[in-house]
Amino acid sequence: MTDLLLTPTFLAALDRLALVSRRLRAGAYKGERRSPRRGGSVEFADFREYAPGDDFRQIDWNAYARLEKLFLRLFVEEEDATVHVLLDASQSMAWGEPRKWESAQRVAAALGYIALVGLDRLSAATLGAHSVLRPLRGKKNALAFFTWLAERQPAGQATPAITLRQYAARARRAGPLIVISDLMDDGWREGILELATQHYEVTVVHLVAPQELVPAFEGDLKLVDSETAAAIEITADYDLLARYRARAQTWQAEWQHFCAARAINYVGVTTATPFQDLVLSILRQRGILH
Amino acid sequence: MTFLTPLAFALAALLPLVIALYFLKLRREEQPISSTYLWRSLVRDAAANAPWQKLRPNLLLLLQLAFLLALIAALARPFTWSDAITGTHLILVVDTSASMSATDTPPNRLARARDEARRLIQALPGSARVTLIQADATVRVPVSGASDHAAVLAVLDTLRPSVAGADFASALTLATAIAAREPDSEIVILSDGHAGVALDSRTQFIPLGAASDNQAISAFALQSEASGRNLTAFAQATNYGATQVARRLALYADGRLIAARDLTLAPGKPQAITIPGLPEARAYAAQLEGADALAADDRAWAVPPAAAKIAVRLVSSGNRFLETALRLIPNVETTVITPTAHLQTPGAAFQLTVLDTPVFTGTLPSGNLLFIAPLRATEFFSITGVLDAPVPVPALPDDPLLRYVDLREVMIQDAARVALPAWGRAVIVDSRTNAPLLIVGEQDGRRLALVAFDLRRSDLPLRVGFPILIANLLDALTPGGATGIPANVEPGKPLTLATQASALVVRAPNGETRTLTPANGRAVFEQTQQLGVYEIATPDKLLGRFAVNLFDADESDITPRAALPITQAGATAPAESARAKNEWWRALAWIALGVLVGEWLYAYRERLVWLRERVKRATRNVRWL
Repeated sequence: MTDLLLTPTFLAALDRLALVSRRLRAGAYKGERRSPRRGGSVEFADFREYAPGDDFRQIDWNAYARLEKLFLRLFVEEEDATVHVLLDASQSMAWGEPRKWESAQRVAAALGYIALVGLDRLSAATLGAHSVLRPLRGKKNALAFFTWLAERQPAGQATPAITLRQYAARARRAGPLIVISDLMDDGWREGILELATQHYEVTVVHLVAPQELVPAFEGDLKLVDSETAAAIEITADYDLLARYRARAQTWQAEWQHFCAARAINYVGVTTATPFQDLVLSILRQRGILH
Repeated sequence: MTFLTPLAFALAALLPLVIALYFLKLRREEQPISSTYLWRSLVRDAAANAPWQKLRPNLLLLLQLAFLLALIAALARPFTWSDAITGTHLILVVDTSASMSATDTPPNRLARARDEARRLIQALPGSARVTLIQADATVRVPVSGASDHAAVLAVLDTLRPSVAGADFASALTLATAIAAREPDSEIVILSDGHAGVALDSRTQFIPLGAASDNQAISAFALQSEASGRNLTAFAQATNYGATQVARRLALYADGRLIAARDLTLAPGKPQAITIPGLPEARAYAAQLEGADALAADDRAWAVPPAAAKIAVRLVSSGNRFLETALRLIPNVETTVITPTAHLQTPGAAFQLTVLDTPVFTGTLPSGNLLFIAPLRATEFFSITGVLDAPVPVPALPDDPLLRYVDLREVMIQDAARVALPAWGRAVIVDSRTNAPLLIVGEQDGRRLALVAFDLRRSDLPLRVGFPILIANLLDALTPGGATGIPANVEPGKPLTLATQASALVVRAPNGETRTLTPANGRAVFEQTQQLGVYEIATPDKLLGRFAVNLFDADESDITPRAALPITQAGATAPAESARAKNEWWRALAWIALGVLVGEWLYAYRERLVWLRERVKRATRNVRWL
């Protein structure tokens, strides 16, 4: 299952990457992440005047020798963070050539693996075919994560507005949150807005199939929605297709603006984008990985 | 618009079929897609922004229906009647009579006729031939069977309206004779319809003219007392227009104005005036002042009657009624001789010899002759028997010879049965056998008449009409009176003059002179195409004058007529089959083809756009190279 999702070489490349968190958060375990608390790591942060009750061990005696005042040396405390990976597993993700679902699985696997390698807590869930992974920690749980991921299959209809609100309410610790979806529902906007206001550090990976941007059909057609089976009758002539292409571009641009205005990372990709490029190059360029 | 094969409209039943097929076809192919999320807003936008776009999917159906309709219409072969020519030989009969100079369609009607003729000729196929017949008082054929259309057009431009009436009967006879030789010929009459014409199925009439506004001097004559003095002018003006007009009639004596009368002319009514006590003059002219559509009939001329008397010789053994009737006529001098004595006097001294004798022996005298009740055949007629108690009736209604003569209840005891000779026409016939009782005619320039019954064996001489009949007969038998020159001649009609002179000079109103050389004591003057006063003279002496006037109601009444009156028995109205049809199926077939191409382009517009992009890209690459 692991082989199917990510190759060992690629995993080795992922080992060197880490998720960027712009905000510092208080964690429960010591991890590789800076904590707002000053702690006992080796990285110096600041000085503070001694107050009774402070740890003697942290007094900077050299400073005392020069200034005759007691100062405490404060060090950056490194802690873990909870990385949330939310995966759209609605029926529409099963579409596209290559399928959007496969790409989504791989992106999720890569990001989850990076989180586990970085000693972060990983919390994952799928929408549509609803499933929640109990939080995992440590590289040793990567296989469990991959297995869970591989067993998921897209089905049904995502109800992102409700599901994301519930997720935000239930998750105990906010942190980096990655949404991988085709965003083909009006509820996504509401749900993502909810997450952003709950202090999640949201990254939206907007994954669409190339055929969704440039339809490869023409003529008098009855378009059938794979999720709702709703049908729309169209005459796919040159004009309508041109307007559709323009609409699709506008749609992507709207999402980009929406995310930029709310400090949400937005990555628009198609399934035609080579996966390694996406993870090793695009996500790093956007400052999501480092 | 009419249809040659209206049955084709049954194909309209296919229209619902096309619609049905279209709806069947519109069961659209199902195309599964991930989500209709993006399409939904797009389709909603399209519907909201342009309501007509709802029709867009149906454009193909509309084009298909249009194609089918055009095809059905083409198959039904619609046509409109056209005045174009279908034959290969166009026989144009152009009316050049006086009424064609009417200016109601500027410059005049003949110019319009020329335009129509030019249009017809130019529409002809190059191989078609044209015959041009010009109809006025005489019939001319300036162009016969020519295929050089330019030459025909050139001749057409030389046509000028005459001042005479039109001899359409001859023109049509000629045209029909030409057409009879060639089945694929067509006769077109260009006229304002003021002609009695027979039409057959291959004849097309193109009416000309637009207005009826015309007044004419319809009669102008001079009358004198028996003494030859105290001349009175009699003029009659007629308004042929539809509205009442006021015109002034001026009377001139040798170009000098001597009288004028203001006339108020009611539509369609003649108005006569008399002006007595005219001064002596060589010729008189009457002029309607002002302008109307036809100028030719606004002037009329008259010459005073000759003072000399008509010399009549009556060969009779005594006929009181006849003698009295002849004596009553002014300007007639009657010499009565017995049947045996007449031979001694040369006939040329008399204008008329009346042979009131049953048996005539010897040579007939020269000059004009009136036979009364002959018992034996002569060189001019043959007698085949006797009619017992014939009932006289006029052969034709309104014969001018029988004007004011009432034949009702006239008794005739018996009459000679005369075969109608070639030179004459019957004026009075027996109502039962239709045998002629009075024959009048002309042969070799001699006026001849024959009364088949003895006046003494009839009560006709006791009737009031008898002297009138004799006076009428005398007028008919001695045209021109004593001089042999009639006072009035119809324009275009030849004038026959009896003369002993070796040469005659005729001076036309425009001053031209023409010298005639008489043969057999007769001279014929044909150039009466000008209106006005003509002078006839021998080289040393003036013989007399005559006037040529357009007293022709047919010509003066310029009211346009849409159809020609049919005068010949057996002639039928133009048959529809002979008229040219303008068929429209070609245009409709082109439309159908156009719609079909349009439908194809619309159906394959995607690929065409794709092709265009490809071509654009290819040309761009070429530019780079």
